Amino acid sequence: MSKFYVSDRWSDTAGHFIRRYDCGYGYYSKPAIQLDSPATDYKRAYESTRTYPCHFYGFLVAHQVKISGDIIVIEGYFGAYHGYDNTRANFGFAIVPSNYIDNDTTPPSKIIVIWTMSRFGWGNGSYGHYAYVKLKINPDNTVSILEASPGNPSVGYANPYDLIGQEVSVLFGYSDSWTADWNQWACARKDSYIDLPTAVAYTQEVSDAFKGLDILSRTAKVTKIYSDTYKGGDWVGLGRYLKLTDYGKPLDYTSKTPLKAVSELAIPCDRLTKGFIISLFERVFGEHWGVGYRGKILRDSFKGLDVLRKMASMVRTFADSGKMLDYTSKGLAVRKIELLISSDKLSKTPSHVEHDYTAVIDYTSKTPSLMEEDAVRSADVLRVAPIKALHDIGKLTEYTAKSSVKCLSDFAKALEILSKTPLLAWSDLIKGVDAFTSFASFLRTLYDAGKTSEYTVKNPSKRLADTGKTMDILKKSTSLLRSDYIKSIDYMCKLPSLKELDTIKGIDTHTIAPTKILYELSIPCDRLSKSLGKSLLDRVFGEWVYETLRGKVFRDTVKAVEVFSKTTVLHREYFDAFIGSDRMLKEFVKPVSDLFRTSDRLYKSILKVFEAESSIVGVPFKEMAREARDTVKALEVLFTKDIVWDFIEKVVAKERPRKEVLAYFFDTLSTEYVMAKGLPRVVREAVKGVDIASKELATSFSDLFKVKDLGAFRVFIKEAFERIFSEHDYVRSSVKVYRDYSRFTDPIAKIAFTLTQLWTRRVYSRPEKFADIIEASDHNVRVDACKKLLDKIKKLKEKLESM
Amino acid sequence: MSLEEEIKAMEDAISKMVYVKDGDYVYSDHPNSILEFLKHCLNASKLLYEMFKEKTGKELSKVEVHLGIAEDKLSKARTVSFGDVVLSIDHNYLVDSAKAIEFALLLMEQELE
Repeated sequence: MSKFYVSDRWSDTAGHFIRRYDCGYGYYSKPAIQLDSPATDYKRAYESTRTYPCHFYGFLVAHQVKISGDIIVIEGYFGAYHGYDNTRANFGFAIVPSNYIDNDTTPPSKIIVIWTMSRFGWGNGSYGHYAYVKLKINPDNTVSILEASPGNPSVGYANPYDLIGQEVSVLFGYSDSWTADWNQWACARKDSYIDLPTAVAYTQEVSDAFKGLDILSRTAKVTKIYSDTYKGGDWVGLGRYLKLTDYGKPLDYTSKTPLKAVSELAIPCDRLTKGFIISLFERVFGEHWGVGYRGKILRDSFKGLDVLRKMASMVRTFADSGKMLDYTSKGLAVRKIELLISSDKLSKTPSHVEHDYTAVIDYTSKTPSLMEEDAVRSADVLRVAPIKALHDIGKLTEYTAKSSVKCLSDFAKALEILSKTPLLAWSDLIKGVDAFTSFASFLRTLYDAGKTSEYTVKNPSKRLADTGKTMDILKKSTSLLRSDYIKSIDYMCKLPSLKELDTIKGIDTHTIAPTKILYELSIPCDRLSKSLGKSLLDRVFGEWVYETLRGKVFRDTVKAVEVFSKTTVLHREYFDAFIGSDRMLKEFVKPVSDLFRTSDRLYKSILKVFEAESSIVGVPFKEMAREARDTVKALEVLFTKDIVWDFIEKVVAKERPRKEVLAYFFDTLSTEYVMAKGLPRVVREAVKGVDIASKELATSFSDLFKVKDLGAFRVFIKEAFERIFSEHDYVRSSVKVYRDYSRFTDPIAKIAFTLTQLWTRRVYSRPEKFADIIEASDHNVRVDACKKLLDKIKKLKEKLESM
Repeated sequence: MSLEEEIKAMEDAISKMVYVKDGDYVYSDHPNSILEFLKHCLNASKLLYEMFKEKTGKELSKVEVHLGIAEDKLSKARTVSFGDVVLSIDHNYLVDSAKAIEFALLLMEQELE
């Protein structure tokens, strides 16, 4: 844009006119141009002699100026007078092709802006009124007022768009619409101006400007003009209108887009890294739960896979960015070529001015580089910006690449950690977090059982060894039994009892039976141990298996009970063997018979064992079954007799343990039925039973069989029961796990303790379903507790000092 | 440090403590100020116990046990820094040690009544 001030042509006092439109009146006279009138620094166009209507009269503000843009600004201080009144007084600017100045032909294209004094409330003949207007020439050959102050002036135009690219002249003056001589005038202050979007100043001005200048100064001036042309001219001669600034925008945009893309890429990349680290962090620090660890590892593995997938996506995005960079560099090259073309075209514009420019520019290219730099500043900016952008992209690319490497590195670390985790898991499990301190029994169980992983190997071995020991003992016991039997037989032979003699026949059977029973006993026991081992294995390496474990524990308990029933059969057989002995009857029959009564199941088991034994000893099953039935009948008979009561009285001293034993059997057997009704009760009863077993049952049975006559039998029974109890101990430990677990859930729910009489909460790390955090109240309680502790210390100090 | 100095140190530590509400940030100062207090509190309790023994001529094994527990817990408690995750053990060691100190003080008080 170039401002053309009134002062620029101050000394030019030639009056001019243009024809506004055709109305039948011709040009009559030109106005008089007066300086410092009506006041100092004002220049006035005055109708000293009659001027006719349909014309615009005034003085030149700009002449032969080539308009290269579509924005025109007028600003200044003005005044006007009309002999009639202020409704006719007006001032304004007329922009027309230069060749229509003082040409009484209506110009084909024009813009005339008129301010009427009355319209703005200005008095007739007054001056110094500020007026401002910003116009826009639209491609549809209209003119818009973009801004105006104090208000919109009247704007008349004809083909205004055609003015762009033409040499135009601007007149300031008044519009005359009246034929009479009204002494009309319009004035403008010296600093008033019209701002035109000029491509260059007029050739003459340039030529004048060059006069008297040395070549360097001249070059500098040309350079400035050239630069101003770039800066001020939205339009250059590429075709007709080529916006150089438009180059800037796409170039800038194009160069920034990859930056933005890479930047945006960096953010998710960073998030990915952080997300992955967070997940690892959570895994390492947030979880110390051995049982759920496996699932956690799997879950984290999936997270890792997800990260990998996202990484792949990121790499692909990065590749796309690379393509974009390539495209951008090509785009820049294209733009550069276009720019050069436009420059070339600019230089070839068939204009005298450009011709001169070309000559000067040619010279400029040979002058010191400083001049060149100034001359091509704007273009250089365009060139440099993309390079900088590419440089920045390079930096970001490097950053992104490093981030990717870091991601991969972190991932590799994570994989390493994952591979180590199973090993670490146990370590962490044992070391544990504080939560496990309340779960010490569980830890101890696991730890003592063979230091976790070794346990699974050692325990079956131990069981086998135990079984072997038992078998060994069994052998010895059998031998002893045989010996005792012989003694007993010797004793019994002296008794004239047919039944006893019959019993003697069965001695072989009875000596073999314990072996078989114990052997059979060892199988479920071994199975039990294996099952428990497997349970622990499941527990350690599997998912959360408490439900399974509980079921399994009680299933195995029932197995143990079955073993018990078999053992009971053993008792019965010995009862049969010594059925004729009053002493035996008194000491032993009652407990055994009570055992029989406890459950039909026991009776059936007896029959079953008889059946099994019949195949061993070759005794017909029917006969054995009959014997069993007879035995039961005999027992019933015995119980109906007074002698039994005598026996009962004799065992009163053992009533309590016996009852507990029976209760144990009863409760344990009941579990079979309860299992169908729900585990909680099973657990409760099993715990009860196990407690009894561990505390009193063993003693009861031990005492029960501390009878001289059963010497070897006692050893056998002791072994058998110890074995069973050892299994029960095992069961108990598992049950204890459950029980402790149940207790453990209480602290989670909010079991706490007081601290200085304030409810205080300990916080536990545990599986997600029991997630717990340190709450604000936890912290506040600590603060209060500290204050109370300080008070306590002070009071105690005073008390001690006063002593 | 003397008993008076320990009490002064405890008062200083308490002056640094702030109450928090749900949603507040957890700053390292929160657990650290408690830890600092409890260390001085333990030292003060030990000094009081020495005074107790001197004045009464009695030795209370339970007091020693509780002071030992408190010392053990406090030795495990860590000073957290910016960026550390405050774990459950950080909290629990503090309340456990505080509880042990409280027991020790209580036993001495009961003995004096």
